[in-house]
Amino acid sequence: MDQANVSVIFVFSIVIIAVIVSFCVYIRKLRGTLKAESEKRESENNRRMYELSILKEIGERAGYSLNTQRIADIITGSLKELIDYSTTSYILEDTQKKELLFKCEVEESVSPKFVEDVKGKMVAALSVLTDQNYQNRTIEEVIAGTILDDDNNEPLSSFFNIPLTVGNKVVGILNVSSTKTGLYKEDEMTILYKITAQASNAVTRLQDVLDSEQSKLNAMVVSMADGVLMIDKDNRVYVTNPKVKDLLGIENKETSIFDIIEAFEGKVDFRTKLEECIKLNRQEVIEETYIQHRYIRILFSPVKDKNSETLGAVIILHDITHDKELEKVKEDFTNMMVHDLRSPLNGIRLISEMLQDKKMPKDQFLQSAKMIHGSTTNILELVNDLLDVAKLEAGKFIVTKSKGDLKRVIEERINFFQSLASEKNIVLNSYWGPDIEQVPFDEKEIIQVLNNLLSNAIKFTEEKGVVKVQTLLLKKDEDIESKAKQAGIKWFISNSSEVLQKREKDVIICAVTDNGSGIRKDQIKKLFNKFEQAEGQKKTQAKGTGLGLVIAKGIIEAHGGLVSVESTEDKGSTFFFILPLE
Amino acid sequence: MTKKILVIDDDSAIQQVIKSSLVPEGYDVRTADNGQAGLDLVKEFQPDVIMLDIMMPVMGGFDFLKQNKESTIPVIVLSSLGQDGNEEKVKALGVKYFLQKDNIHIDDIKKLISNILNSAPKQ
Repeated sequence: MDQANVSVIFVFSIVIIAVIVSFCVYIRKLRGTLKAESEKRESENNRRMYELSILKEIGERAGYSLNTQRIADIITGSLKELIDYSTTSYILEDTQKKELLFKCEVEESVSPKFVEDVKGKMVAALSVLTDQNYQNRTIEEVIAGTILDDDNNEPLSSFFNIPLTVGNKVVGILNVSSTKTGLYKEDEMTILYKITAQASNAVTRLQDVLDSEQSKLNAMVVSMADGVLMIDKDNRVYVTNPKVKDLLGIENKETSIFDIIEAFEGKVDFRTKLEECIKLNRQEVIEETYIQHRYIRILFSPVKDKNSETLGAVIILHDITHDKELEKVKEDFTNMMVHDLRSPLNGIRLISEMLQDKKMPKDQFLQSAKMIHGSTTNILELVNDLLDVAKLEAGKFIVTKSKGDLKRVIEERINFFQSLASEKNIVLNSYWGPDIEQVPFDEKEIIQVLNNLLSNAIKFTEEKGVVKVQTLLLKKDEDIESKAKQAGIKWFISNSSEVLQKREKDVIICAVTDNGSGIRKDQIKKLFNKFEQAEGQKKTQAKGTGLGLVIAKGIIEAHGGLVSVESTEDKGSTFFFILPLE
Repeated sequence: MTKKILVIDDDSAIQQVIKSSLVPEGYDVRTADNGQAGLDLVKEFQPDVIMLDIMMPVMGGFDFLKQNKESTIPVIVLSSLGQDGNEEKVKALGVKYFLQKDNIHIDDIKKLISNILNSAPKQ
């Protein structure tokens, strides 16, 4: 072999070796990289798996809960495997108590100042995000985990905040903090962000469902005629409707327990009743209290959740003013009737005592007999009226209708009342329309109606007044004003009268008009009411049972007709009834 | 001198009974149908004793008493009202004598009036 060949082979060998070595190095290097990459992938996979498991857990544990505190607890408690930190914390706003709740889970011992700093950063973040100033708000603090170390000087070096939202509203802040510098990059923040976003979505969806249910419930509570309040065990007002404010005269926008207690001050021990209701778990009732010029009955009922744990109480404020008024009116009516029955009886009793005096002169004896007669007539009249009213009310009042001569009946009544009218120099006359057919009616009962209307008209008309009875036929398609004009009579009932609007058939209309003192508008609707009539009668100079109009209305309605009145104060009144022709 | 009695009652039977039992005793008796008419007669007639009903039209007994507060004429209230508390109400308005119509007898009325009139001058 020559020198050159040797050296070529040598160089070649070296090159080969170098190539082999470098290949080996490359292979080794390649292998290392691959291993690192697969390790990295594995850990990435692990982390993702864990992330998913946390999301799943949140879904399961918190998905059906609206308790944001519990959700925050779950999230902050799940981060250990994912992120390196010294503390995890959350801060939430308690809208009821108007304070903040701060909870810090300490993983590695840190100084109290560290926790203070974390809290400060979170409050600042919450203030910015919600555009509210929380700096002076009361903060309830819970610090858990490893004990704080006063001697530890390690400062807060890295941290990040993630807002906790429900719907579009920020309800709190989650925080992860560490004593190490530059620890948190986008990666860590992404994990936590994903988790909170997932949780907040779940809560938002649930909240939407609940809101729509709640709004139905709210609409119901708001529209209730009773005042409704729900108060929890901590005396917080959960639910209230406008009627509560209305009944209690509360003017503040938000009703608080203090407003309510103040409204009942000195009248009802609201607080004790509420406490008893919750503590003894039973209904409590305050039968009656007088507040803001109204009588209110208050009902307290305990509210329990599905585990029979008492949550608070529902309080219903029921306005019983109308019931009380009705009770009073009924009482007045009874007193009135008792009085009216007793008075003539007492008269008779005293007269008969007097009659036992044998020396009584004859003229006085006769006068006494007359008085007894008068008193018994009064009693009889009242008893008959009361019986009629009772029959009418029980629906047992039967009229026997037959076609008859109403014109004759009216004229007879006019004659009957002529002497009474002339005592007061009252002109009493009647008008009978030209085309009136025979009307089916119960003569005996219609006489009673006419008696009532005529005696009232004469009673309430001054000396030298005028009382007239006008009767017209009114076909279904005719209007009363032009009909009266045609007949050439002065007429007092307008076309717009409710009773005339209501008619369905051809009718005859009979109107008794006086030019007396008239009736006040607010009194008109009381006229035909049994109880109200009793009240009104005390104030007028009317004598008699006061039941005449009530009975007249009953009789006409039993005929299938209607009764009404039109009146102008100081000008006079027209009482009228319509009777159907068929 | 003849003593004068004013009877204010809307019940003519009561008016007549009292009148016809007191006139033979030598009293001068006038009657009014309601409180308003009673007030007018108090001025005109100047009675020594007033007998007053409670439940009357136009003006009842309570209103009469309120309007007649200044007067020192003794008043006997005759009431047939079945309500509790009337006696207290009437006495609060300064009336000393309260009779339930259901329980009285003519002799009681006569006796009461003569007692009132006999004790009056001594005051």
